[in-house]
Amino acid sequence: MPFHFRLAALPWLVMCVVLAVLAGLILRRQRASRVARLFCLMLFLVAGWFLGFAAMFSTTSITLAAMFGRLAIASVAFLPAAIYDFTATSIRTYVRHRVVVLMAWVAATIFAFLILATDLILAGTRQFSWGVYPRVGSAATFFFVYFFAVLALQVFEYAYEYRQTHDERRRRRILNLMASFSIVYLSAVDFMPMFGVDHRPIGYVPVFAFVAFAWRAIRKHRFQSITAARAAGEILDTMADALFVIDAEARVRVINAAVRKLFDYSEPEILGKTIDTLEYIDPEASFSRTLHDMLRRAPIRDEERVFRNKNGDRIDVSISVSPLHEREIEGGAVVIARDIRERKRAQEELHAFTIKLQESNRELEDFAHVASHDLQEPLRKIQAFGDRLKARYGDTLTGEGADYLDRMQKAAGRMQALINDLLAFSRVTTKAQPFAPVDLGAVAHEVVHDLEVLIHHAGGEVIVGALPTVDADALQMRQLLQNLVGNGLKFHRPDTPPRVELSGSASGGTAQIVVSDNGIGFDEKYADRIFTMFERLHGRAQYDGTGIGLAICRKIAHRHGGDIHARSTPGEGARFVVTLPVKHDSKDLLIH
Amino acid sequence: MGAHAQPIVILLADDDEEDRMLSSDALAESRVVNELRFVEDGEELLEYLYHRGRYSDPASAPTPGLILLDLNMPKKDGREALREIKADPKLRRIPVIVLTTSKAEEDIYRTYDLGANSFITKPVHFNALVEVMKEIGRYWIEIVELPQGAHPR
Repeated sequence: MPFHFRLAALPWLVMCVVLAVLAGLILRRQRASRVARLFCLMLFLVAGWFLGFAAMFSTTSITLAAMFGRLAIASVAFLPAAIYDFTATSIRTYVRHRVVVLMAWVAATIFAFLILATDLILAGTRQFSWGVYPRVGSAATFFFVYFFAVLALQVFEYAYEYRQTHDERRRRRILNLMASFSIVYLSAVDFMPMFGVDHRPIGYVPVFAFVAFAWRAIRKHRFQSITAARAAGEILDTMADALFVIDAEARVRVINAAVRKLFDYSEPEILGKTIDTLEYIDPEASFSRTLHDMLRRAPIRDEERVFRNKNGDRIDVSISVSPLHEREIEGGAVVIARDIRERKRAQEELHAFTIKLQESNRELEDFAHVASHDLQEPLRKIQAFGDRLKARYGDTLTGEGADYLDRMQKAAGRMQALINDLLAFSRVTTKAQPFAPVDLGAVAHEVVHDLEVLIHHAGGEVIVGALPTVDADALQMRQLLQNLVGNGLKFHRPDTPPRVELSGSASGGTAQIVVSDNGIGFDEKYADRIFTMFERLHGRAQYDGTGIGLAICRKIAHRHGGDIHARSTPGEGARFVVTLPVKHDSKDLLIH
Repeated sequence: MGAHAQPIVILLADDDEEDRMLSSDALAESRVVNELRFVEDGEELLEYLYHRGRYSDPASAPTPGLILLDLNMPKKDGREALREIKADPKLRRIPVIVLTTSKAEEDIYRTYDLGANSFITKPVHFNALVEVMKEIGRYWIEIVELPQGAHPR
């Protein structure tokens, strides 16, 4: 039996067990946190070191003692890397120093291997009055250079961070970490017996102090102060929305920075007050459902309410309330209030603007209607008296006088056409009829019947294919088809009789009506312009017209929630495509 | 053929002087020889029919056999005048032909509802107006038998 108990091994063994239990406890609670995992790794490494020493001091076999010594020091070799990694992670410089951290771990692994497998770092043991202890090997210097260099780097990093940061809480934490590690570093005196100095190893004392220190910190902050809670606090403070945690009595328990900014309250001014402090008292409302009542209705998502700030100014917010079931604030809730004043203002502006626009639109339409009505009166007389003049004194007029009169009457006729078309244009909205199912095929046949004289005169033909039935204003459908067919007949090539074809289809709730002709066509760069009021592509001498017909077509299509497009190649005819919704939810839809 | 001892008087209510002129010319051109009298608004029309005011002498205002009525007139418009005429048991027998620039369906419905006997939109061209007057003369004066009550003496 190579072991026999010695008192010198006891403190090492006890500390080893304490560290292992502590590490296990922390790991169970904080497995998700990298900082916690690294802290536990440090504790396990120290425990390994202590276990090695406990075994080394307890064995009677020199060979076994040397082996346990090597195991202990191999654990110690990993400590600088673990401490450095922990430091970098806890003060959040890990990402920046990832390569250095990795190098430290590689070096630690190499040295651990050298310690275990060769005599370069450790070579045999030395016998002291208090027991055996490992002896340094020929290349031990490299190990100590690595060991202290990494520790120095870590201290340097703490110092650097300490000077860089202005956050008082962070500075205090760095100082705490530095203080605790400096205590641990005292254990380095235990290297001295390796060089022959007769010093009894006491590494467990500073480690015990450190563990006590750490335990206190863990108890106090539950180890969360450096991880989740702090991160959560920062997230809360960077939130744009105001956040309150309220208890079952609706008293404010926690607020974030946005609360201070939005409502002007400082923390002491609002904490402990009921959330109703923020309720806007509407002088006109006969009763007010308090925010307090909201708790009973929780959860609430995006409900618009009016809050008030410290000065009593109203603040439009959208609130969300989620109930909380924490031990301390059972029956409480998290209230999130989003500032929607800007949105409200934009909405109101938009609303006001829309109303103004509708008014001016209506005025414009009224104007067009009234103006064309009133214009008709004097025009009718110009025409009537022109007729009288011609009828009674036509014979006495000379050739030139008759020509003038003729031109006057033609101009008056054009004006009449313009006014009629303008009236028709404005009637699309002013005389709109409710939508009802309209058989476009029947409408097309009526249109052809109406245009018979024109068709016959031009020697042309109009072919009506299958057309769908749609919810529409029947009179306007008739006008639409009449204008399109009329157009097709009008713009025919001088040498070719016009041929206009109507066809249609309906799919996916949209009806399509195609009116194609074999006429002169037009350059497609004008495909949009032809639907604009008064836009004409030809001189009046060639093709008569007011330039309103297609504008009326487009207005009718738009009023029906549809659209109209034209395709053409000059000299090869034109193709007008009207798309209309087959159904209208509200059949009395009168907007345009 | 109408068998009246005296040809009927046609009363035209129109505020527009030129329209009165044109109507008068058109009537002359269409060879309707009946006497044409004018009033300029709805109020004057009723004064005429009731022999009030400037028409207090019945001789100055022979009861018309036919009324041509414009709708849009000042003071009292054609619609109001029509309503009053058709509400009066004696006057309602006089045929009223609405002659207006309006083409609005609403006006057509309303005036027929009020008891108008015809609704005619004033044609744009003079020749057409002559045609209209000719037809009015042919139908209302030559073809149709008007009640004698239309001439309360």
